[in-house]
Formats: sequence, structure tokens, C-alpha cells
Amino acid sequence: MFKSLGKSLLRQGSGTIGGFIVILFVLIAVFAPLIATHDPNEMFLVDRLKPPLTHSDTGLHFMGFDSLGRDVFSRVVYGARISLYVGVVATVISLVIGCTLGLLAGYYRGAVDMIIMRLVDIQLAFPFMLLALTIMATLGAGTTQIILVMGVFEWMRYARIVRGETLSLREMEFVEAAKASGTRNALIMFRHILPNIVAPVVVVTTFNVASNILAEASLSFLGLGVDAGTPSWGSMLSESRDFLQEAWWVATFPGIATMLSVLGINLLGDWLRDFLDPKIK
Amino acid sequence: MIKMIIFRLFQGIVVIVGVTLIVFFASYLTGDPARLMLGEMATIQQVEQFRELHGLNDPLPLQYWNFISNAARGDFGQSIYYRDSNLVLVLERLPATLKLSGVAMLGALLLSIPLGLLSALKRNTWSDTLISSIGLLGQSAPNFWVGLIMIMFFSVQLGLLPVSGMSTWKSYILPGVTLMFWPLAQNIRMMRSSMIEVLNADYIKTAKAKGLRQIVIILKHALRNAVKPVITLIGMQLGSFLGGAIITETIFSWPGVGRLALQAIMVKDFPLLQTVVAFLAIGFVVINLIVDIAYAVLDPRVR
Repeated sequence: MFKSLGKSLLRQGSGTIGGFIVILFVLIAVFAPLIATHDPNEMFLVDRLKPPLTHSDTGLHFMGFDSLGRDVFSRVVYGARISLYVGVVATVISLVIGCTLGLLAGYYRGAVDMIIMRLVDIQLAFPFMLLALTIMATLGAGTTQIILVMGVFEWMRYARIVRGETLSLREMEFVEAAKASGTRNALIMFRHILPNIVAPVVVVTTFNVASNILAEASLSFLGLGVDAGTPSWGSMLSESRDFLQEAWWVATFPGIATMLSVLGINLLGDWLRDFLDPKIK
Repeated sequence: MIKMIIFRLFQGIVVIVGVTLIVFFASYLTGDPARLMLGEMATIQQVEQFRELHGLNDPLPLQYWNFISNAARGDFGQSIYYRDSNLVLVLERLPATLKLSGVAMLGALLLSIPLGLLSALKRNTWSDTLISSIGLLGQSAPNFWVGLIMIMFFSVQLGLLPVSGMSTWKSYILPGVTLMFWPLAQNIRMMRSSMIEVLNADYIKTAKAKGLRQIVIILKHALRNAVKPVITLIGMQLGSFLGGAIITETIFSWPGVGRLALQAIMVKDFPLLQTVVAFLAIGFVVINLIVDIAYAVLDPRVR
């Protein structure tokens, strides 16, 4: 399995690029303190809005300074940390909620299925951004809040897929055999059915991390995202709005970082989808 | 088909009730809405007066029922921040949002179909690679960033297009492109893969074997079927259009409901937010119904 996975990844150029970008961003996030050239929150007020490649008393500043005199490069590096952290943790929460509800709906059918699927309809039917903003406004901005909001409001995709697969798997002979031998329902769902649905779930998970990174950036851009002071790509872009005329770099670099990381995950997701489940192409 | 429409309408009502319920209870999560709106400096008497005036002393289910039944009669109450009728505030701004979303949705539809078609027909050529790359990049770039970059280039550097506001046709270009960027990318990819799938179907092979001209096969037989998933996708994208409108309208100071919603959220004007949300939900349900009907017209099997 792993050998053919590696072979397929290398054969498909875009998958390789995606994998490379993702690994790069993960490394940047993990080793941020070693890679960043400065403290991301340290202010050099005399150097505010100086352009990229500025040499100052504190060394070389690759990406210049922002409006408060902070090093843009170091903030972009630390931004990778918060983006990936929020993206991954929120995805895990949705994954757990969505898979559990999807399994319950598909396995028990009837009223349980109807209630869960109507919940899915309601959530799918409404702009995530509006709900997220409303909840963020009531809870207040903050990293934990944003993770919870994204985690709780993105489970539907998992629920839909898992339910669909469970509906067909529950009729299979191995499930009937498990039932006949007296295995408990919970055990059938989690030990026998769930491992057979891993492929589509992994694909959805990949795209979910990408969309969560974008959602975090959007919410932080509107001022309702991560904690104030935390270097995040979205909040950097938000701060750049008033200086577009004199400092292009403040808006450009965090945007490129967001785009690249999401692009890498999307490329990897595309390849994973083709590899794991050609049916859902 | 009538059965389907009735079912969808029922589903729509469930959606509207569900969404307004979420916003309604969200306004109570932070504690006393009256204190929240009046601020820490307000006296207990003022708070009590406010609660009485806005019916905040009633039990929660009754308050929600009052909201729904008043709304059904067209009375959405007063905005706490603007001190004006919520309905008037929303109706004043609705046309701006509808125009912008319409421009963006039309642009996404009109561009994605030919681009996706071209990409599928010229599979694995440079034009396919180019179009697919645009699609992939479009899905990866945050739309607000695209908006900022366009402002920097077209407004600040070149001085060609207005930075903000809604005036001439030129003012629609930047926000329109910003809003359509993401759906466009998604539609191109969907159109491409759906067209490739359709072109491999047996009935297309039959049409080819019959000696029909390629243009007839593509336009008459393939396109009709290939476009269906794109239409469904547009229905699903409406939510993101409305969500995207909040950000786009904020960046470009567009006088629409998206910006009004954000303002309501920022000043915690929940009655106004509730009205905006109800309107967006109704709009969403109605447009989705239209999409479903269009789908049924295109594909008799769904009727």
C-alpha cells in the first residue's frame, strides 16, 4: 500500500508539488522559532513600513516592516503555525462529530437518520461565514473560539459521506455476520464499518483543512478571528488595508503564504482523491 | 414536480426557522442583551425600561414566537443602533447586494461554462493546463486578498477603477471579480470534469458513430448534460456568495446587506442581525427552489 502510494505520488507531478509544499509549511510551523529572524511582536517603530530587504541595526528584514515596525517575514513564519494549528484542530473536531453522526444516521436509519440529515440540510443551507461571525461576535474573538466555531459548523460534509457509505455497508455480509455473532452495535459501527470508509473521509479531511485555513484568514481579516496580537495571515492582511498605497509588501506576503499553503493542500487532496477513491473524481 | 416543489418549500421553512433560531439564541449566549446594548454605564432603571420596551422580559420561546409572527406580518422591529425600522434598513441595502451578487454569479456562470468546455475538449494541452491552473489558484487564494491586490494594482497604481462605493458601472468590476473569483474556479473545475465524463458516455459514442458533426454533438448532446452539475453547484454556492458578500462589501465599502450584517454584529444589534439573517435565508431558499426547478426542466428524470 505505502509503496504504491509513494510511486503514485511521484508519478503525478502536481501531487508531488502539493506534498512538498505541505511538508514545507509543516516544517516552517514546527520550527518557527528557529526560522524567524526576529520576534514577531517586537516593534521597531523607527523602521515602520520600510520595504523588503531593508538592512537595519537589527539585521536584514527580507519582507520589510509593517505599520507598527514589526518584521513581516517573522510574522509570516509564525502565521503558518496558527493557520495550520487552527485548520487541523478544527478539522479533527468536525471529523469526530461528522463521522459519529453519519454512522448513527446510516446505521440506525429511521427517525435518527431523518433528524440528523435535516440538521445537515439546515447547516449546509446557510452561509457559514454569517453564522460564524454571529457566534464569534457573541463569544468574542479568540483562537479557541474560532476553532470551536469552525469545528462545530463543518461536520456536515463528513456526516453526508459517512452516512451514504454506512447505508450500503450495513447491508454487507460481514456486518450481518458480526450482528449474528452478537457484536454490540457501537462495536460494529466503529470497528467494522468505519475502517471501510477511511478513503473518502481522508479526502474530505484534506480539503477541509484547506477551507478551514481560508475561513480562519477571513474571520481574522474581519477582526473576529484569533487572539489580538497573535500573528495570523488574516489579521496581517486586515492591518495592511490602510497602507495599500505606500506598502505593497504588507498585503502581498501573507496573502501569498495563505494561497500557497491552501494550494499545496488542494493539490495533495486532488491526488489523494484520485489515488484512494477514483469513484468520487 | 409539484410534489417536489412542496417538499422543497417545507424544507425551506425548516431552514429559515433553524437559522433564525440559531441567531436568536446566539444573542442570549453573552448574557443580558439589554445590558449589552446599553453598555455598562446604563442604570438599572434604564435597563429595565429597555427590557420592557423591547419585550425582553417575556420567556424566550414567547420572544421567538413574537419575532416570527411579527415578521410574518412584515414587522421586523426597530434597530437598536440605527433607531430605524429593520425592514427599511435591509430593504434599502438589498438591491445593492442583489446587483453585486447577480453580476458575480452571471460572470461566474458565463465564464466557467466556455472555459471548462474548452479545457475538457483540449484535454492535456497547454490551454487545458492554463485553465486548470487558473481554477486551482482561484480556489486557493483568499478572495479578500485578491480584492486587496486588485485595489493595489487597478486603483492605486493605475488609477483605472474606483477603490470603493457604488456609483458607475466601473465600480462593479473590482467587487464583482472579487466575489466571483472562488465560485468561478470551482465551476470551471466542475464543468471540465463533468464534460470529460459526458464525452466518454455511450450515447456520445453513438452520436459520433452516426456521423454527427462534432459541434452538434457537443452543443446539442453533451453540453445539456454536462452543465447540470454546474447548476447544482451554483445553487450550493449561493451560501458562499452571501457569505462572500460580507467580506467583499466590507473591503469595497459596498452599501449592501453584507456590510450591514457585519456592522450589526460589531455593535451587537441583534434585532437587526436577526432581520438580515431572515432575509438572507428566505432569499437563499427561494433561489435554491428556482435552481431545483431549472434542474428538473433540464433533466426530466428528477421531475
